[in-house]
Amino acid sequence: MKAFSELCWQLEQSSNLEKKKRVLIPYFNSVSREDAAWSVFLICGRRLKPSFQSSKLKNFAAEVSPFDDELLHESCTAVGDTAEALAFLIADSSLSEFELKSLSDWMNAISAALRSDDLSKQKEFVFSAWKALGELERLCFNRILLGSMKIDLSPKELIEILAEMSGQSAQQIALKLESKWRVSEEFFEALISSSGYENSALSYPFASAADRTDKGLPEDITSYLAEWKWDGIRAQLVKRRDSIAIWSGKGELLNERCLELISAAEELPDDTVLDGEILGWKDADVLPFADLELRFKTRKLSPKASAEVALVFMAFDILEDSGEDVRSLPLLERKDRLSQLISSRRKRAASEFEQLSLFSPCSLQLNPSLKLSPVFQLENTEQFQELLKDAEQMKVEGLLLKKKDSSYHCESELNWLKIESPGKTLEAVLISVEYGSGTKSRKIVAYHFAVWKNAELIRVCKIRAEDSDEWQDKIAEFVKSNTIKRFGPLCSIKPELVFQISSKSIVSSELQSSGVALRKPVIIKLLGERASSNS
Amino acid sequence: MASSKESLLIRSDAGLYCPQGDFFIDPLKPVDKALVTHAHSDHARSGSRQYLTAAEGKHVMRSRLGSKAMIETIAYGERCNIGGVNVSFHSAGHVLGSAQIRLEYRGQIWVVSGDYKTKYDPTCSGFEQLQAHCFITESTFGLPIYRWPSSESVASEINSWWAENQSEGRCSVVFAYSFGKAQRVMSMLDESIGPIYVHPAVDELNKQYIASGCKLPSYGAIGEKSAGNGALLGLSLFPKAMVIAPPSVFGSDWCNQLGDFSPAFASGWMRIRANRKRQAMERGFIVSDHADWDELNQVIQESGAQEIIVHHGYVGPLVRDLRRRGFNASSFASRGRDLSTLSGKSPKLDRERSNSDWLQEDS
Repeated sequence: MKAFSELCWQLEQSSNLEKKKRVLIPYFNSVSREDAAWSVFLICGRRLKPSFQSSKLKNFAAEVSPFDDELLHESCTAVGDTAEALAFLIADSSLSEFELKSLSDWMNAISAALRSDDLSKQKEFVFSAWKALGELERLCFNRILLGSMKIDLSPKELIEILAEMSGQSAQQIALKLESKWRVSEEFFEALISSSGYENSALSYPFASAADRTDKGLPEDITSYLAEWKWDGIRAQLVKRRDSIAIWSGKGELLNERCLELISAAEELPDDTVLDGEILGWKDADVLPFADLELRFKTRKLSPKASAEVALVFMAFDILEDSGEDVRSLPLLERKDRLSQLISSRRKRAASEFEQLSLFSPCSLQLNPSLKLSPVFQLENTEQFQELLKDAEQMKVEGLLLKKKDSSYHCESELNWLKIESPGKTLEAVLISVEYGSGTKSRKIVAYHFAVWKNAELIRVCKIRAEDSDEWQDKIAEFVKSNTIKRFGPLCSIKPELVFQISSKSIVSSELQSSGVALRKPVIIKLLGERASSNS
Repeated sequence: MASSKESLLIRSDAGLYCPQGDFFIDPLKPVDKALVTHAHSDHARSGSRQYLTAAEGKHVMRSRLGSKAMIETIAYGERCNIGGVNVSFHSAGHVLGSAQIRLEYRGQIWVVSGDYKTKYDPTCSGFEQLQAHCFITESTFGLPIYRWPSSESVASEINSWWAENQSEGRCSVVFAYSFGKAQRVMSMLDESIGPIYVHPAVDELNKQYIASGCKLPSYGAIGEKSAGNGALLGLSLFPKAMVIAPPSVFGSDWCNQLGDFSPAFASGWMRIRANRKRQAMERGFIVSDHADWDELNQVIQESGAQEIIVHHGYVGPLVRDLRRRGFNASSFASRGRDLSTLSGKSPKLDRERSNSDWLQEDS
């Protein structure tokens, strides 16, 4: 426990990943495998269940503390964290030598105490622990009891450090952490051992498309297939016998956020790898990216977001087909295999449905989360232009052209070309600016824009400030003399500076407070000052 | 309990007032006679006709109140008579020249603590424990969560952080209030590690400290961004340097000229993790020029006072806890009122202050 509390303290003092590495690696090397496993458990944000209510711990503290309830309460309020306040309020005594030493001993003992239904035993345990522990250790102890451990190391950083420490890829570590595991010596051993995971659900390198938006179409358009360029999160879905993984293009494991896609993938044959786009979906229609983002931007997935935004995996390529690496096959053949795979899955589900319906009238929901992205054969460029016009109704970013005979190649971008739909422009008024933190605390880092609607301002988007912005000085000047209110980093100003803004798409959205979602907005130019406007 | 008639001090709009001697202590508004405990700006305000302050703080007080202010000084422990009240100033150990003010009138002794600390600080005289009938104490950190680590352990933390930054070629910047805190932090530094620089605002106070006979490590000042200045000081020195600057310049152009640096904040509020996180600096060092919970209680105990008035900071909690332990304690607001009206009423203003204005701990 001492080493672990020291680790937490050291991590708080470490301002960058490099320093954290210098703290964590020696820690893992010096503690037992089991302690290391428990540390991973806590760093990943897992907690022992059930945990104490903070009021319970406060009541315990009231019995041994020299202070009255009110002073305890006021102290907790001032600290804003019960575990921390109580760690400060219990006097250091280090009276009793506790037989518990290692983190594992402590975790097991705490776990037993938490599950015990004997209040006096729980109390006795907590009291003697407080007596035996120093302040930093008490802090950790309280946090473990309350299930409110705070460690200045994100799971992502942990993955990176473990990868470096064990000579594995970050993806391998992420997969192992994602699989079901219990704290044990063996778990940590397996986590840092690079052998025995040949068949793991890693992603393949992603193929990417070259941007042809402003460069015109290729001459031999008939040798290409066209498909929608969906506006979602690019991902590979990997199905193995005992694991399923969904990887983002940036190499992040998305499983936690995509539970419905994981269960949809259960129906795929083993050793299948699909490439596609994760989309937000509602009422048989794709949702704007801003709505999809609601599922991914918070650290914990909120039940509200998962209820309102269903996910769909829009598959457009197959990289491994029942164990066979098909990346070098021509695109047309891969498309065939993909559509067979998805439609046979459909068929099977449909036949099950028929059998069931013989016995009960209830309707069986087909798993709609796995979809096949449609493809278009092109005969001439006019057809392409027609499609591009439709792109807007389809709420996609544009079109992709993929060479029919090309393999799935990640080095050459010339096999895949993307052509985006022209953006939209609107006039919006600057309502507030946002200052940075730390060394940027006097610098404007973002602008917030709104539009007028029935004499009311509706905030529509935030745009990051770039150093190259020519309007930067003008805005800074304006802010100086037109500030209404400063709240934290946000500074509201008189809504008088009007800009022209361009956005990839403007879609109505029920989930955004403004009712519209702008995609990748950029400022085009400063239109001038206007007292009020109907833009 | 002393009735308000016998009170040597009452609280008025303009601050603590002694009707017998017709003078104010740390007045909030311009008055005729102002007795000032120390030169922090929430205690020493300009505009009064006459000031009386401790001799040790002569230079800092002058630099704060301006060259035209009429300032008289008196040595610690020396007595003078103001309107029949016997007045003396005694070291409070808070910052250079800080004083507790002792009032004696017809056998009654009242002591106003001003801001104080009892822990050792080489940049000012040590705290003098006084006896009084009524002791008026500050309570900036009047909650039991506030207990300071020893100066030695904080000093070694700061120095090893400095050495670590140096090994990475980064400048270390401690943001500390320019009067008192900055000098205290400087006194903790190990000069053998590297060069020490200060912001001009700190430099100005340092000069007053040195003029008052305080020993500080040798240092250079980094001026406002001006042509040639950086070259003069040799920018290459900064990667090894420790820089002390007031918190208000964090993020300013002045800071930007330092290049890459590791920012840290020195304050008693850094005891709380949320405060350390909130200020967007890499480190928070617990350095306070106020008494912590234990010091407050010890000083109150040893004052032998029959009556305690808590005047500033976490008033409610300390008053209630003192009463619980049998002291006759009150705040000016509640003085003379029944305990029941006080209990459970933690003054909202005090709490707000501690949450939002902690950057100005000592201003």
